Amino acid sequence: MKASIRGLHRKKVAQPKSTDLITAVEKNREERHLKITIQTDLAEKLRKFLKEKALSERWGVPLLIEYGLSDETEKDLDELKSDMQSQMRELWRKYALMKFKAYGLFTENTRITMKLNMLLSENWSLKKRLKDERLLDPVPSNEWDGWSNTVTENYYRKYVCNNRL
Amino acid sequence: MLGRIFGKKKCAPVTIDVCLDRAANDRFRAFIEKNGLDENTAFAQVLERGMANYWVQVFKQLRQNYSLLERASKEYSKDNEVLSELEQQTDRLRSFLEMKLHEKTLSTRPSMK
Repeated sequence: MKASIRGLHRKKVAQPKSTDLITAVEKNREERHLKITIQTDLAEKLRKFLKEKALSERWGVPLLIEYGLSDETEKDLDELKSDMQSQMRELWRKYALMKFKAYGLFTENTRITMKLNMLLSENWSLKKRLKDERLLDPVPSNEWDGWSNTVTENYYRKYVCNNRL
Repeated sequence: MLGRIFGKKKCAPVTIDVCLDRAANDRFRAFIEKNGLDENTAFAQVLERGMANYWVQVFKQLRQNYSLLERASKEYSKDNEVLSELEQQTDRLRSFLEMKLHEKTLSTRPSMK
């Protein structure tokens, strides 16, 4: 097989040390371009495989490389195969349901979080007024009565900014 | 790129461009070093292994994703209980105050008798 290292980017560029998660993730997303020479029969097999699985070449090949580099032993793979045969269908079903449920909860939480500061401020002032005017006794006490900015910011991070603050 | 192989002679090697992310590239380099292979042979071996174990890896990933999703869902559900309760309580307190103020207004209004 013909060896080819053409196009291989070996240049090392000094980069600042990543200080936050976003930079670290984006750094990991940096792509390395390789020019690889493979035999025609393997290329043909790959083309058919990607077509069968409806994978594009751009995403499919790196995915297969990722799968091929996994560090499972043959024994682990056999165990996984046996689990797969018995659990795959049920797991897909549970996964789909869970995803639907999680998405619903997430969007509902996003909706409430968008107005969280206003809601908290209204809740606190209503309680204060009901207490001051002795209209309600006892005024309910809840965990959000003592929430600081950090708590609301955490909700914003999680539900509005998707942890990207 | 792979589509072009049809125009080539049988058994002629095909050159493909591949983009790997940093982590995958590092693991690929480690695989080459560990097995003492040249880049193309290593790539072919890894590719064959990836195709052979495709569904097993999909299953493994699905299982991992499911467990992450399950954890996230529990967390969302817990947050949802608190946030919904806050929203509902605020609505209840607002209605209660409005009702009390209305009652107060009625009681202070002069009688129509």
